[in-house]
Amino acid sequence: MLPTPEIPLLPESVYEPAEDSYLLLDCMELCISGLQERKYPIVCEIGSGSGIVSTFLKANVFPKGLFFATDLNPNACEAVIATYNANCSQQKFNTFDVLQMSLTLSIRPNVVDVLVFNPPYVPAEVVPDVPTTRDHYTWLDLALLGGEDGMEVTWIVLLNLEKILSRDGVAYILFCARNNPDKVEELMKQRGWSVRVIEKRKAGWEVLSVLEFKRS
Amino acid sequence: MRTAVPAVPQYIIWRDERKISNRNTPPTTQTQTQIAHKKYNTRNMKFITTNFVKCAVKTCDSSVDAFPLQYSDCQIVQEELEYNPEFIVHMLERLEWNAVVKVARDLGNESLPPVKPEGLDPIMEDDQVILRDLHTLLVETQIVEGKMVCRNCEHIYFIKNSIPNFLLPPHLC
Repeated sequence: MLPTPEIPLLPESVYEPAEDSYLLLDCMELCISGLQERKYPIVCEIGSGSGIVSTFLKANVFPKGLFFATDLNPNACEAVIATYNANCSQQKFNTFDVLQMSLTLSIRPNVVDVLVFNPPYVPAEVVPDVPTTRDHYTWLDLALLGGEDGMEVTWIVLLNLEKILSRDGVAYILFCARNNPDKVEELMKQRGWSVRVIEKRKAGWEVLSVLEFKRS
Repeated sequence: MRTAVPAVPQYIIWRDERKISNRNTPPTTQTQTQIAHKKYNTRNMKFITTNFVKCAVKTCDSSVDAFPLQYSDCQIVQEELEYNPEFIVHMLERLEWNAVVKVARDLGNESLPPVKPEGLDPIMEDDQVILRDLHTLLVETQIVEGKMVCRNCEHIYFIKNSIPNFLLPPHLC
């Protein structure tokens, strides 16, 4: 098994890696041989949080990739750097940048070869507003709450995949059962995407799955 | 009698301390580019990243002026990174060269060739020189602090402590 990155002490406002994060790592490891056919990919993780997934990918899967890790939360952006430095200090090829950004809004269209997203997937009345101060206590809510069906943020990304991904780009997105991933799969197939479930797993009281999206 | 003129690197913003102090052309008026030579333990915004980021404002999507952003008041460092010519060759295919030239100009280098160097072969000695320079420019040249301005809507984004911030105030979201 590929090593799990060590996570330095995180501020309270940053999501601590949990079952969902580990499922994503396992899925990336499962797909590693296919993924590594890309030697110099542009990799983007949305909502990097602690940075565990991006760091894992840079250290183990795409050492020669160009990485953009995005997060809205300034504390998370710093945590990503800390996690990267704690695990990749021996790396001499640090093509890894952290960008404080909503989703991929400021990334030039059609450049991302590999997109990874562990979204705020918990159903909630609304998606919380972005806090105005750095120390605001609601930052963590932003990492968790996904509005109606927990899908409001994820749908923004799914409906923009066409614009985000490069021609043969691929996206890995995490869902919980309450997001109705079967329905998402069907709708995305109707929109011309090839979709497959990489892994489905019971984690506590949640059932989590990771779906892969490619142009068909 | 002809004296030997040292070759001026075309691609890189600077090569070493001496090169900086010998530089005759001052940075452009909007830019007070400060240059430092340090090994940073943080991840700074790399020059290559400027080629992949644009204005976040929705109405700027249709404007050709939203990319690249205009860089000013930048503090730059140079971080030593492992040289990987294959990476540079692959990334060159992905780069918008006009934007490379524009941003390099923002940062004080006016001497980039107007046309993207293509078909570079890491085995050829002449190409090696160019690839090395491109390596220095694209991944070793990094921005620690500075401003990024959209040429269309004039919104200003800041780079602070190595992290560029593309969040918009609520009225622009």
